[in-house]
Amino acid sequence: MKQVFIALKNKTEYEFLVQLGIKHFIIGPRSFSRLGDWTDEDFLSIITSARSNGVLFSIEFDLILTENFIDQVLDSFLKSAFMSHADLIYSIRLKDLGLIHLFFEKSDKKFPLHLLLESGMNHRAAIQELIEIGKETKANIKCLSFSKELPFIKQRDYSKFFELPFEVSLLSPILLYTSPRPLLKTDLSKVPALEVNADSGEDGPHHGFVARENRHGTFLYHPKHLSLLDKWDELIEVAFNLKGLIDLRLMMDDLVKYVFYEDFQRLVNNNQKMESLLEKFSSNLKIETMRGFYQTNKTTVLFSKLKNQHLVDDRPLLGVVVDRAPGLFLYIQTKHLVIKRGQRVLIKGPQGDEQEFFISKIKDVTGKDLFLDSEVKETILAIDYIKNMTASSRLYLIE
Amino acid sequence: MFFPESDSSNGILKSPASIKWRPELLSPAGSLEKCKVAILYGADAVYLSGKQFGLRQAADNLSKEELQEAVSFVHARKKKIYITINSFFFDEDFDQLGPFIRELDELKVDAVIVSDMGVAAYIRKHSSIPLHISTQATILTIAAAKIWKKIGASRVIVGRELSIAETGKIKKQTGLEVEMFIHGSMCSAYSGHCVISNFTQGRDSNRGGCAHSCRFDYSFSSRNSCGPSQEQLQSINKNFMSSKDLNGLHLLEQFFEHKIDSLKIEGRMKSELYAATTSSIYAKAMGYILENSHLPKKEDPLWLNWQEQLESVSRREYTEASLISPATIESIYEERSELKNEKNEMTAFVLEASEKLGILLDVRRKFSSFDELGFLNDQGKLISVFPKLMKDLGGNPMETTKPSSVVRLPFQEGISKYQLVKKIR
Repeated sequence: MKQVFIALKNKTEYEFLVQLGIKHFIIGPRSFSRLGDWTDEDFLSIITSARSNGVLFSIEFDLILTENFIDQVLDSFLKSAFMSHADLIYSIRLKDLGLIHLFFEKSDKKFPLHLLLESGMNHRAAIQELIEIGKETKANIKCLSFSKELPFIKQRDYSKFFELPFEVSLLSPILLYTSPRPLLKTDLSKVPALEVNADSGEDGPHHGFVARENRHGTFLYHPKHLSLLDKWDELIEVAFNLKGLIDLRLMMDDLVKYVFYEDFQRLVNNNQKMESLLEKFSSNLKIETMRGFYQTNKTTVLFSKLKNQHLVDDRPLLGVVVDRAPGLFLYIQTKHLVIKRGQRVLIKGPQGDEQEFFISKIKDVTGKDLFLDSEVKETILAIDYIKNMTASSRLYLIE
Repeated sequence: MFFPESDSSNGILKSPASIKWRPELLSPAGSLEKCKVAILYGADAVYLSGKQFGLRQAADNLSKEELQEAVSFVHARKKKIYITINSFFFDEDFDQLGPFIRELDELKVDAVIVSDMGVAAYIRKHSSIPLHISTQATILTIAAAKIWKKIGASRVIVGRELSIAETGKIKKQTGLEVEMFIHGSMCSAYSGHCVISNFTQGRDSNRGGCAHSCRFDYSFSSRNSCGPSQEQLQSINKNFMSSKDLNGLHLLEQFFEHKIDSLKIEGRMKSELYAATTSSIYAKAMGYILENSHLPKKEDPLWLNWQEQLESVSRREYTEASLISPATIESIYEERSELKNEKNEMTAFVLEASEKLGILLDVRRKFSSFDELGFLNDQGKLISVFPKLMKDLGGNPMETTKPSSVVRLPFQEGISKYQLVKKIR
């Protein structure tokens, strides 16, 4: 069985999961994690148990920090209880580029790092640049989480290329939006965080988002969890160094969650396939799931509504229609290329209509016929009328 | 930068005579016309996209020929032009990047704005075009800026979560040029970290397809019985993710003090009038500081006029966001739609103005020969014109115009090509 890390909501959950024999956990310290709520005291209270049970922790430090705070917060993290038992730390989970760089520079301490490559890291060259910088400083990069927008097969190939383990979501929330601003008007002196459902009646499936505000800002999560649980058995066959993530911290019903954990661990212990687990629990868990971009190469689904897409052409642009005298002329604003009688041209309309023709008339706006090339650059001219071609249509030279 | 840097190193403004430096004013150019307008109305530089790799797929963006024309126009006036290649790439996109970079190299653009490390490294390897790192890269610390410097950046456009003072510190500690947004719409999310459109509508917000879900109205409900009360839920702003627009005019002196290299106006999707108004006001305000070492007083008619003009463009309520200290909930807009001033819409655009051809107007909004038009000159003043004698291009007299047509007026002194026209009454 490959390693599966379970994100712990609280101490009660830890105690339950340890009893089941689970040994790999993610802990999110309240002061350093977007979603976690662990205090130093909570963590210290499980140290003895963790050590005796051979438990390892991956510590979340996934904040995005600004210059005024980064040194202070990093210092506070390094001095926190979470960092005081190095033998229990499997990795430190980092998101912020500045923090990653500072940890690279502290590589003499050999902190094991798990890089969360969430945005702007959708291709190999970008990731390679970052990893090269890490290598220069001999940083101890232990694991990668690739962008959720990459298909699994690419993640696997990148993992092979970098010779580093990678983590996929077996069942975890999809973070859609992160703002440092407090947006829900929460009195955080009374509660550590506020969670509400947010729905919009406007375009698209904007229902059932989880909006969460805490001391680090406001976060919006997708109504569905990202899950490859039903694919896990196939994935571990084809991906060396694969790790799994289960994060049910946004789930409200603890009882259902605990039954899920029990069944999950039973399958693990008996070396049985996971494929039935998701189906069995999707209704009980009261959460919907999706596979996200597991099989989707996003380059092929690029937003295609480019404005004026019908007007674009690779040929030299002669001018743009600015007005027309129906049956008589099209008035065009010419560009820096010369327009001549007899030129073979293509006109493209905003709705995708296009027509080839030869220019036979050229007049200036006073109605005078033009014959000299030098007179017909970067001005307004009247040329042959072409039916259905409206203002904004473009005239290209066919060479 | 346009003037030799002063020898001030303590960040304090000197007496008027000693201020010889000012930040660059960088304006948006969502189309060729907006590019020309921004430059003519006071921008020192413009940023725009080609047809590929930009983040404003709903803007016109510029074809190869238009890019050529834009570069010629901008360079002829000794100004600068930066091209955005700031969408987040996937592996396959690199096939098209090489030819585009060669094209930009030939055009001699002044910089490219990129947001991912792979693209930055590729350009550094294959071209000598200066690299500016987009706000999409969320550069918020000296440590993050240093990584980009290693990759070859010459300038970082810092995240909008940073204050002017923090940005000044990044400049000082890294030696990189720094650029900040000073005006316009803004994401309330960390730029580059919002994927709502990606996962709900299949539109990649980091590849130009943002559906602006943050501007939608939302209603709220409790997730369980111990959740917030109805009263608490109702107190949440239904537009809870919709940021007010940034306006940093009143903080301009501080941008000078901290030697911020470039001040950027957002708004490639906005109108020519927006580009003209914002470029003109900020250029004038910077000129004023150069001469006087400070902004006009708040009761000065000049200051009031600038404010009035900035308030007249299509916008949301203004905020200074995080320019001084981290933005609070007060920076969130409580309405769905923008504030529009019908009287301040652009009516027409001057295509030609000469004694031979007269004044040719590209009509954007209907007007009649009985109206009074105001032609906005590069000093921000309106020149009054009564279009009583207007004709169509066939020479026929007209009483009313229609949008997307061209009309001709007799030539009048003071009117020149690319001026914007508003209806006064």
